Amino acid sequence: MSELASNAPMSMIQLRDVCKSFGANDVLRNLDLDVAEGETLVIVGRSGTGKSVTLKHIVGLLNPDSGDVHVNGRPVVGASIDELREIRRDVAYMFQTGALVNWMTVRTNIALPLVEARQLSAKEIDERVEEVLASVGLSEAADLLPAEISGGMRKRAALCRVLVLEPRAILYDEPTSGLDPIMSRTVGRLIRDVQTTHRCAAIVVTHDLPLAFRVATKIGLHDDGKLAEILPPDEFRRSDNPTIREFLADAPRRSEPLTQDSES
Amino acid sequence: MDSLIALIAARGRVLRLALEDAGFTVRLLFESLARVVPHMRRRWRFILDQMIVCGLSPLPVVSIVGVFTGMILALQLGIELADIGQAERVSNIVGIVLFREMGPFMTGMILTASVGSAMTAELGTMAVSEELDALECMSIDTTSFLVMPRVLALTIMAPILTFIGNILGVVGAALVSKTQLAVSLDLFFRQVLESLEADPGFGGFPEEIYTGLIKATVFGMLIATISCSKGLRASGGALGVGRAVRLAVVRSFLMIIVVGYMLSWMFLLI
Repeated sequence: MSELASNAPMSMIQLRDVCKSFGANDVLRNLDLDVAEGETLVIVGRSGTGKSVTLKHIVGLLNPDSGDVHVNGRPVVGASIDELREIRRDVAYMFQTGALVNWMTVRTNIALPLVEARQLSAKEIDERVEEVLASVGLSEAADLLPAEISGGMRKRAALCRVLVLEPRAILYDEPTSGLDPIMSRTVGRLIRDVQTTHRCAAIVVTHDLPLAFRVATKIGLHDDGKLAEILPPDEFRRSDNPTIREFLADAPRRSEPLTQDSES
Repeated sequence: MDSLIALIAARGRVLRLALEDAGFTVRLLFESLARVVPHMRRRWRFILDQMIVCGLSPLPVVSIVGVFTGMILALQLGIELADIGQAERVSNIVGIVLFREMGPFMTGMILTASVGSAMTAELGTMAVSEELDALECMSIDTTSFLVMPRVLALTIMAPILTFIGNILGVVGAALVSKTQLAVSLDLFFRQVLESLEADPGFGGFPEEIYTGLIKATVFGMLIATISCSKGLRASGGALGVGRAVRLAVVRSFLMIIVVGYMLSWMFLLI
């Protein structure tokens, strides 16, 4: 524990020996993970291996059966409600389904966390909301309800709600699922821009390999309840680990085309 | 022996879950009430929205049920009373029964079926689609944001709707008395007022009216809290939302009956 505490400032997000079971199903088994400021860890892996469960531990939506979770050096496990609020101010979570409040317009949804935080004036909130809406090309849909827009637009709106907070760490759960390749590349560029501009820590859970290689500073394969290997994108692509090879079966071993930002 | 232990363990688990569930609902009620004054200004729009939803949407049903309840009461009582030559006494009984018992009870049932079930479905859908998780991640107080406005709105609207239902019930009873029992409208309404005024309570206000309205207020608070509590704890997709709605409706009905009796008993004692 003392070692962990001394290491904590190094990582924005740190998980140590995290175990989690649902009934007889061991989802996480001694999972370790570190993400520092400016780093983007992409977690890939088969469906149902516990990738989203890992993210939910970081924001305290789930508690581990054992192990430690630290965000910006602060323990998440056992944190009081007020301490969790503090931690969650640093970490934004983009949900797989978008999770927009269904009876609020896109604009109100995006403004919601800022309005609730009550730190900015209405004018400042409006300006920031307009800015992020424009960045994902969603200005025209701002006054529609989530049910009135497409799945891809909902995804972009959810991304806006994350970006508007300007957090120190962002967790993206399947940010491009349901998006067309062009929009997928736009989202990838946005994620990378945010990392470059704000140097926040990010974890991206995805099955979208082009996105993974585009935004990652390191990639981990979630397998058997833990991250089998965490490697820089080039090394990940060249890895001889059989599970990684199986996962990358259709991906080329050379790095140039996918690691380059082909859309920009 | 093992099967007996397993049976006891299973019953114990059910009891523990039931107590946990009840504890969550009671805590939610107190947490909501604690947020009314400090969060009123921030949430006034949500509260107003909910008051419109809770008040306007069930109004047609409450009105129709009110009129017909009064008509049925007048008809059934009137036939029996006419046999003993006391048909004009129907107004005394209808007034008291409607204001004291039937009005709050019927309105409570309607609000459970229409407003409470909708609240559970709405919050349940939010729960299963990760919207509640998202609010939690944004450090948004879901009790203040979602529950308190609903509880307050229904607590305010339930007695108002009950009063409207009661008045329409009396009108329905008056029409039946006039057409079927040959009791004049003038006599009917005069006797209703006399029967209500005969029993003054606090500040000279008719006891039948305010006891009924207090009951309706409590029912509104209970229905909203139970419905929100079930919605917040819904899990397991559409099936889970359906189960939550069913449980919320059943529990609300039971609470209306049980708490209604306890309040009636309490009002008779004081």
